Amino acid sequence: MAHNSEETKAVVVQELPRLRRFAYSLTGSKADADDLVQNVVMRVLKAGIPGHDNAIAWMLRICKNCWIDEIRSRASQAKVVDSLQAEGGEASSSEKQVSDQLHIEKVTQAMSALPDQQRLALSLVAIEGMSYAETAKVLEVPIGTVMSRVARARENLHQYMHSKTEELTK
Amino acid sequence: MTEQDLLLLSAYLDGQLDAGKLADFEDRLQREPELRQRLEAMRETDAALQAGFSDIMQEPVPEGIRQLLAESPAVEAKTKAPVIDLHAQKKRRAPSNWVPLSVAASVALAVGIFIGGSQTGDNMENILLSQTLQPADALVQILESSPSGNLNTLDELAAASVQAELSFIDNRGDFCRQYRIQNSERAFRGIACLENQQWHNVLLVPTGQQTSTSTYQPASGHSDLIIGHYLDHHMQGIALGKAEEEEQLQLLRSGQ
Repeated sequence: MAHNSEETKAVVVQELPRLRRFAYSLTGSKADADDLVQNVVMRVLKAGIPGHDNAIAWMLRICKNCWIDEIRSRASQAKVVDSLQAEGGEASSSEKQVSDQLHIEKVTQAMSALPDQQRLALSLVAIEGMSYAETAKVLEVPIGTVMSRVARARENLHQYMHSKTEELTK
Repeated sequence: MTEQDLLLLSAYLDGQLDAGKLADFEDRLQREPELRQRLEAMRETDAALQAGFSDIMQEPVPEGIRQLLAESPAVEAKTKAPVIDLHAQKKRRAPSNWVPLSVAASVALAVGIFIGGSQTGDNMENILLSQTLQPADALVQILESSPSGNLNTLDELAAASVQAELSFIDNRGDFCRQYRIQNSERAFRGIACLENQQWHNVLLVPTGQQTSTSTYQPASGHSDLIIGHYLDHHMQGIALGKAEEEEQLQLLRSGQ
């Protein structure tokens, strides 16, 4: 049985912080994340949350679908990755405010440079703390696929961050 | 490092290996330093990811989203002051809101924290910057001897002190201690665990200062959430009682 609208709102409010974090990990930008979340909230309020499903998993799946729709329609993802790969973080360096943000910025940059499917899987597992089975449901892929995407994502992050560290110390 | 090893490392980190593979892999971890180093690097990256993307959770919800949810007064109130819901997060397996040591350390150094060890400020930097604590570190001496609640002075001139706050056994069966370290200007709370006879800092977060042994300044709620969340996911059972803690400390003193 689906939640009624008040219950749905309460669930959305409850899970809003996680939804925003997930969206941020996908978009790499807080403003874009909140735009994405607004879109997700509209859809969830309209469609409701199926009572048989895990509410947060359901919302994250909608978020994932909205994000994929957006990057397909705007091709914005290619621009993000291209800019990162081209200048090694110069664009975001202007946004650096204090030195204690360097490490975090490097990681968020690296995350933005991952292929979409790896970023999705890693975000759900490493940031949202979902099991491979839960992640497989959200992404609608087999568990083995989740396992390999997460492992490849971690390896790519490692390589990316390692290369950035070498650049900084040269 | 083979692709299969990376798969195993990643699945191990996520707690997704079955019992048979888990035992074999832990055996390999004992024998292969390269594997252990890569595991540690993965852990740090995961922690940085969690920290890097979690700050948005504390930021005000944008007006557009609030309006969508605003019809109910209760909802309005909650969206104006977003909080991390620990009950919802308890369902999850992995920590998702704690600040990695490296990040906390960079914060500490950026703001100029300089809590001298019993020897020098360099010692403190080592504590903040290293996940692996050295046996000679003043912090290790305290973790291995001081009952929870006792305040230990590290450096009288710098008004630096360490207080173990509680002890517990983590999901891996390792003895761990939550502690507070502070000087007159800054304070951190940390969790260190004893793994293979080596202390590792697994968590370090800036926190409110303790102005006396019983009075705390406010605004350390975020660190409480982070520490609480970590304990939710990593503590085996409940915290050790006084007698159990003393038993563990005795074992350490006797070198077992």
